[in-house]
Amino acid sequence: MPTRREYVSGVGAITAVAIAGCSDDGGNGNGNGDTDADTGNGDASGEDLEIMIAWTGEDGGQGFENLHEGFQEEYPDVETVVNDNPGGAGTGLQTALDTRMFDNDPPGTWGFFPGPDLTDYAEGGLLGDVSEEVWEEEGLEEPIPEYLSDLCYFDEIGYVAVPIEFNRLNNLFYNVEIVEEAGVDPEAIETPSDLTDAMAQVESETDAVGIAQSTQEPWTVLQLWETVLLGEYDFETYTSYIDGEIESIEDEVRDTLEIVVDYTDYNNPDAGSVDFTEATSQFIGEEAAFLHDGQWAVGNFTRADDYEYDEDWHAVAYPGSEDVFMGQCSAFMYPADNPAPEAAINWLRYTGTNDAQIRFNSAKGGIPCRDDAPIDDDEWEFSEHQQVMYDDFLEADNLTGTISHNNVTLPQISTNVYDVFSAFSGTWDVDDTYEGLVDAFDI
Amino acid sequence: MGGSQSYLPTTEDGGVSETLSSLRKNEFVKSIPFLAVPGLLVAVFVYGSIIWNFVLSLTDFRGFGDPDYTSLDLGMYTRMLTDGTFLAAARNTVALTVAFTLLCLVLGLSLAILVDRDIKFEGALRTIYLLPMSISFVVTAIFWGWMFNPSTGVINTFLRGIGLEFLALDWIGNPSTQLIAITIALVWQFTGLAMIIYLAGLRKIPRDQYEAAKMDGASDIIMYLKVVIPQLKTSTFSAIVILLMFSLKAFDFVFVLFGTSPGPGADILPVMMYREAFSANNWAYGSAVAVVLLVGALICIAPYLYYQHNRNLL
Repeated sequence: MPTRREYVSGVGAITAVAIAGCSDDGGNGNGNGDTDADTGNGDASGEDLEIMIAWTGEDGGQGFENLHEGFQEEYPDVETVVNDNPGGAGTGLQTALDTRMFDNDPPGTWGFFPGPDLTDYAEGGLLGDVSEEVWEEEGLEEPIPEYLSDLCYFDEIGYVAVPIEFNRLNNLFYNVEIVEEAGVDPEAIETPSDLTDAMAQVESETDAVGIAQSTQEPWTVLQLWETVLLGEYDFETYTSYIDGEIESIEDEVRDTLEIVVDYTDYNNPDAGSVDFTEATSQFIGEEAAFLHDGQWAVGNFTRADDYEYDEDWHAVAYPGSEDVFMGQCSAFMYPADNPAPEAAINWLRYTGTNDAQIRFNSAKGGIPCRDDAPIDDDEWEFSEHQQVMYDDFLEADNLTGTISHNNVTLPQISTNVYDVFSAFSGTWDVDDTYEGLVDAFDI
Repeated sequence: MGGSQSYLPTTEDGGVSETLSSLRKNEFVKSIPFLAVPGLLVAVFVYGSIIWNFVLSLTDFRGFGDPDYTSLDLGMYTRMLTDGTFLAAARNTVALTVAFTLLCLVLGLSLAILVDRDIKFEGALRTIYLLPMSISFVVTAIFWGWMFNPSTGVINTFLRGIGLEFLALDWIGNPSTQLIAITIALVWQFTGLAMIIYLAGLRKIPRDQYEAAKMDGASDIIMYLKVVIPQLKTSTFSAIVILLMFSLKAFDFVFVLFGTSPGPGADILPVMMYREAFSANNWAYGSAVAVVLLVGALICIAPYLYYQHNRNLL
């Protein structure tokens, strides 16, 4: 009869063999245990379409749900698995996605930023071509403006994505009562430097601070400076910046950095300790006259009690930038070696339709990426502010993006620029920041 | 008996049997089924990954192609020497590690001595001091962020209340105070751990020695300095190693408060490693930063390992 020790040894040996036997099948998971139960199905294998997203809460979550429902109505036979990756303005999704792509285990599609941010994937042969099956068959080149279609296109591959939303960034929101009390007319502010005088007037005439701002993370300050550069100068100057020709616009860069430093005199005193949502809350609480942020801030306004468009808050294009629609675009991408190619093609076809665009954006707060979207739809209502934004989008002379939102440069450059502005948002040193920007594009 | 065995001399046959028999009885051989599997897993997934990571750091790998292993060099390490971002992150990491560890040790020892003096509610106090340890860095970061708010935070409100207006700073907004703020929050969280380790050490010291010191006329301070604290060497080494490891893992705290780019005032190597690898896709440079962190961790635990080795505990 075996002793207890021999018995345990035997079990250990059997376990070893069992583990060894399992080891050759280890790469079959989806690389992320966070699959969502949206469809009641956590298995991303086979022909099920796995969709990775970061839109999990409030407006984003609702927008995606609307889109997802629309797709299921259109393609009832396609099974989907929604893989939520919340957190950190998409950093959770990006990290999970990078791991999956490295493992050659891509999802069917994912919703995130298109454009040069995808360059590493494109150069690594990880993106697939949907030019014919999606863009040509659905005729998307006609209604989607060139700037947005270019974000989805790579010379060596073709179209790899379909845009789903465009959020305006060059906004200046204001509290109606405060600016009236201060005797400031936001429509009459012509340049970002003039805004400094307006903020001084607000602070001398009211109890509010000039502008609600977060400087805790670099992207908010970078986004502000990019908008100031565009507004104080012009589209050509701004294009030189995103092309990395910093030395050719040295005076403009230094001047606009100084303007942002001047703004800090009119920030909320805890700007360095609050994130952008807390700064927005201070604006809603009428502690500040102005707020600069992307269109997503409107979602916070809408959720606030007794805080109505036109009555309590309003918005204008950031001074000096009226002719440009500076925005952040999101899209659904198509990976090479797609595990569910047919379903993913169907998803992208649907994403490009007006039905999908208005379902998603009516709730999410952005605007459709097509120039023929029926935003006066009865079922999928767009707010008055969104309708104004959409008109601006249609009438804009130029569309562009920002480095603060990863739409216009390589990830390495974006990271370098972020580093530069993470220092700037504490030291406010114009010389160092200028030098840092020159170096940031040298990769 | 089989023919093949007839060629073996009887004595050797007996020797092989004895060897096999002694091998069967050998504790190490008996433990192989238990050690082999975890040993193999650790070898592949820990040491294998470390080696692979080091090799990656010798390449120029970035993006999503395949790394080129044909030309390995120390380019990423020489780049560090002139990279202001790396130097700032390294400086902050060292400063945070040293300040955090020392403060935790001093405060932990002080608390342990106080709790060890047969006071009332000792158990409750011990729990209160240890409780912050159970909170995740994420939660700690968020509520310390609120407490450090220069306008509405409890820290500045308190400082203003007691007339120390000049100390009511923009703690996490100003690069020159960011690291101090991080250190304070982490010390708050881990002092309880140091206290528990020291308390365990104090409880192992026989009470007779306290009484003997008293009878020899030693004051409390002398007694602790000359009799008690010298006997806490093992506890101190253990606490140092654990605290150093935690300080190197302060990633969560900094990431939650400042994101992937905390700036020169708060950047630390773990955050930089993440940023280079997962934001910029500079895998080789991220790997090199990881190697530097690993070396730092090894330097941190080397004295402890040497100490344990000298005591025949390794």
